[in-house]
Amino acid sequence: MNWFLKGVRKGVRTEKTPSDVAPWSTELQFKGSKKESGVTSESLRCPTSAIGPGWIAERCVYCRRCYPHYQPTGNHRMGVVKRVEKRFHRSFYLYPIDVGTCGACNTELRLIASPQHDMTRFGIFFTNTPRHADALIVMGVMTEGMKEAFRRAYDAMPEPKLVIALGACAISGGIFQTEKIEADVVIPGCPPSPYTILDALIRAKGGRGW
Amino acid sequence: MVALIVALLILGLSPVAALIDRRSGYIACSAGSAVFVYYGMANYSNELSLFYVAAGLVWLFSSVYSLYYDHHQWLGPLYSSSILGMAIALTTNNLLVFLAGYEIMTIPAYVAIGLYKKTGYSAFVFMGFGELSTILILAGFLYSYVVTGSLSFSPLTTITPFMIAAFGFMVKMGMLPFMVTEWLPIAHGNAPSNVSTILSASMTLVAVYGLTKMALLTPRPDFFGFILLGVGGFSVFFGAFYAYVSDHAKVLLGFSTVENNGAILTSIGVYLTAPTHTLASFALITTAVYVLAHSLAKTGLFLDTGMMENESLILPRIIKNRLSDVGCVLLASSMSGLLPTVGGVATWALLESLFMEAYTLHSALSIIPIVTGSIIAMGEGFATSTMLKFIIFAHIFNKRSSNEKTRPLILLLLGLLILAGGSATYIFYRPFLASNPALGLPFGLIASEFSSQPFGAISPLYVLILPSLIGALVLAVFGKPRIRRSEVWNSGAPMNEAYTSFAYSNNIRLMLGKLLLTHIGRDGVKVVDVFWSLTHTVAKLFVSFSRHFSRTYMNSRLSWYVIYMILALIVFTVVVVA
Amino acid sequence: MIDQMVEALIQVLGTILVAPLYSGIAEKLKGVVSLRRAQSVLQPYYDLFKLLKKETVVPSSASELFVYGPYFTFGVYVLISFVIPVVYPRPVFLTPTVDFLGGALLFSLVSFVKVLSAMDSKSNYVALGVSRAASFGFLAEATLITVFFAVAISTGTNNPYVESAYASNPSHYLALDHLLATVSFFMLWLFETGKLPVESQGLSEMGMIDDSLTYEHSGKPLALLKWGGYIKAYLLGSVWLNVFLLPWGGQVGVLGAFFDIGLMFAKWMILIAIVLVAETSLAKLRLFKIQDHLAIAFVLSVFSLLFSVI
Repeated sequence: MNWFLKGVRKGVRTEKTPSDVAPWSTELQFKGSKKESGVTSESLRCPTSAIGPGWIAERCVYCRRCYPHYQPTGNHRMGVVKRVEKRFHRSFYLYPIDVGTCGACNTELRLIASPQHDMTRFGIFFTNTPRHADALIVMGVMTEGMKEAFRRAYDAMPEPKLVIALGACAISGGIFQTEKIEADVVIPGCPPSPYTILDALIRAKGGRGW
Repeated sequence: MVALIVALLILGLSPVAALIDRRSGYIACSAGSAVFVYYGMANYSNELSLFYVAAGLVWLFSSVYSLYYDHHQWLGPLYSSSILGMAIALTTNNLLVFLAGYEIMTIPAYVAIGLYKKTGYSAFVFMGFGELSTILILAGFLYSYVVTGSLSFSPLTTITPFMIAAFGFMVKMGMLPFMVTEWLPIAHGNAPSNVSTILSASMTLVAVYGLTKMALLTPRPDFFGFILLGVGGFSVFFGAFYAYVSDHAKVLLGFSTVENNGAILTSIGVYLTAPTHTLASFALITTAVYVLAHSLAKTGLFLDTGMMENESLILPRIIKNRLSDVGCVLLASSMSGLLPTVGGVATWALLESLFMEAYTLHSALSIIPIVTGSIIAMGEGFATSTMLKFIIFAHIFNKRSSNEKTRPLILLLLGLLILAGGSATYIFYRPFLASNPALGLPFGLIASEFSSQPFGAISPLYVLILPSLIGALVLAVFGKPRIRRSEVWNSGAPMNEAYTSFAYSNNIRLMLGKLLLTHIGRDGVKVVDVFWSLTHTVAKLFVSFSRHFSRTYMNSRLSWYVIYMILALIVFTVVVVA
Repeated sequence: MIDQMVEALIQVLGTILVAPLYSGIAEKLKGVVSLRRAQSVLQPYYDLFKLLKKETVVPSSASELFVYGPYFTFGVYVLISFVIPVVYPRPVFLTPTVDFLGGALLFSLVSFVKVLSAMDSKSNYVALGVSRAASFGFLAEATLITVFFAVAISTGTNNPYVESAYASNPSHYLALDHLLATVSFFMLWLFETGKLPVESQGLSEMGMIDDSLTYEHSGKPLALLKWGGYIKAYLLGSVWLNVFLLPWGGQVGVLGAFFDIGLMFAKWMILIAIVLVAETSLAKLRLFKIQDHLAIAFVLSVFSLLFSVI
């Protein structure tokens, strides 16, 4: 009864618009002076070669070695949606699979279910079996042991289905530079913030983003 | 009458035929059984005729099955003489002939168990309890002879002969606390499946028949019926309960027989105690329908175990295919008391009659039918889980498939018979038919009644048709699914290990450990039949006591005999003087 | 006859089409109490709509039972909605097909077919859940039967509609047997629909009992199973409301039938409020304690039976 009363008293705590985005989870941009514009991955000792001509979101692990040449812009909408699936507009079930993470992506992904972010208002849910899933969320570097499991999970899902790569490791192999995962939606970050994740998920099912 | 003579003649010849040639013996047996079924249907007079039909169908199916099953040299003659004994017991009106038939049925089964035994005492236990049953029945019959002065089944003025005989029949039916008579011979006797069928499906049927016949001759209502209610109710619960924790296919089915016989006994109890005549006749029909349901379904399931190479459900090796899968699912659904099968109608009618009795009694006595009904409801829940266990681990979880057609076809036929039979129960419930044309049921209602006004009603025919019809409609509305095949999802790992039947019922082993005396030892989790272990302990105590007694007091020592003589003299003197 | 058919149609469609809504409302409110904005109340419909359009993945060794079992169970649920008073207070077309006990047996039939259909996938996760469900089935099935009889015995008939009318009399309503049966049935309903404190409908496999039965299904069969689940919750919940807790207010006639759908909505808001408080206040019971929950429900229903005759 206590929990119930507390819940009623506190009211709804879900954010109406994104606020309080952590700066170091957002897009980075060159902020240095003109004469420093020639900096490269090598000169900044970037561990994942994320500085090419400009900043490469898919590779960045946010180690901040490039600071202060590169600084966050505050734009969290970094996800790249290659395929939109309109049929999931109102009902989108995710099956997360951890193929070798450090644990950071898992924590951030879990946060989108929290009262603050509340994915369910957009019709997004987690599920515990790929049979019920519409999208497979892959996190981590692809380890040998999980290759087979990942293939099975993908095979187990009914069409139409999406593959979502979450975090630098899954997208580009991260610091280990292992193999990439072919994904329909890419959510960069190390780890991506809940805002970034939610935004990409909403756009993947045909929404305008968050 | 001609049909009966023909049937008995053919059945009488079949053991001889079986001695000469195994197959011709079984063919004779099948023919005799078919004629016997015809006899039961053609002369359908009262509920007892339904027993003929049920028994005949059991023999018919198991004999035809045996044609493709039995390879043992000595089995044929034993099997057919046992059937002959049952046929005699079922059709006679003479007490002594009934007993003779009863023995002719029991002894070959004893020999068969003895021939194919695994452990030494199984045949002995079977015979011991069989003879205990015979002695009690004999005592009951003798008392009946004393009361009526006639050696045929004739109306009684007192309940005592029925009471004595009832205990005899109950031992044979494996009622609490004699459940061991059902499961032990089957478990340790390693009896071939057609013999198990005869043991479990139709021998108990003969016992039920005797019990019903005696009940019909006894004045009613009588308080003794409440004892039958109680014993029956607890047998249902414990039978289903032990069946649920058994992993031996035949033991599971043996315990399921205990459960079903318990339900039948309860129904006879309702007949005996029912305050109104309408309710009594409803209960009587229910008894017969329950017998039909149990006999058919149990026959099918036991014949199914005949296709198992080992009898364990944990790692079953069974010959099966689509035909036997469907057949066994139907049989199991009847066993679980699900509509629209015969078993469903029987279960419904039994529960309904128990609660109608509680309502009509409307006194402190109502406690007995209410408690019995509640216990049976629990038993039915266990029965459903048990039958699911059997079907899942013998059939569904089993990927082996065979091309054999004949034996699976027999199972399918039995399954369809029991499915369609639910709608045939209208014939038996003729006095209880009702209709409601205004609400779309111009025919096809069975109404349970305790007086003139109905208590409840079901329509097995409508339940048979409507869900499939609506299901088809749903299919038409939503369409067929687009199907893609993929492997089973096992959290990404290959399916190397499968869930076993042992694990399936292990929750109950642990949750109800106090009832089952669950023991977790180094070799796994073990449970025991409490009633049998108690009997066993008492028997052992008695043996050691008598040995001790004879060694101490009857040791042919002169001094003891002198003491006995002096004691006798004193007693004699006291008696004479007094 | 035509009138009865129309009333039956309203009752059945009112069950099939409205049932998911109550689940949606309950989930929405639960979300609000846990400080979230939460999903739309129409979410169940969105889910069903999407699933009906999706492909169906069938395990390689499964048979037709796996695919078409859900169609059959849906059919049985629809049949049950003809039989028991879930919207309209008088018997409608086809109502006499089975009585109250027959209805309980039909629920057993559904769970039998559902288990077989799910087990046909040969998945170990399904087997795990089935074994759990089987461990409690004996008490759940028994309670369903005894609680239906509890009302039957007080009225002398097993016709659910008569029972509803009987209970609406205040002196019968406040009788001890009726109150005990009401509590008992509510506890059973919590179990049957997988509500806390019996089962948490989360994602952890530790809490799975009934949820695991749909573990391998996908596409249309999954949609039908889920929909069937909503209908089951609605049927049992409405029986509880109409026969036990609030047996009043049902209107007759074709127009009355439409009114009854609205009335059911109001009654359901009360049930949802009760469940909301329970679900947000209670913790999940340990697996082996669930039998205690059900045993209490069973014993209460047996007491209710005893009180009704003595």
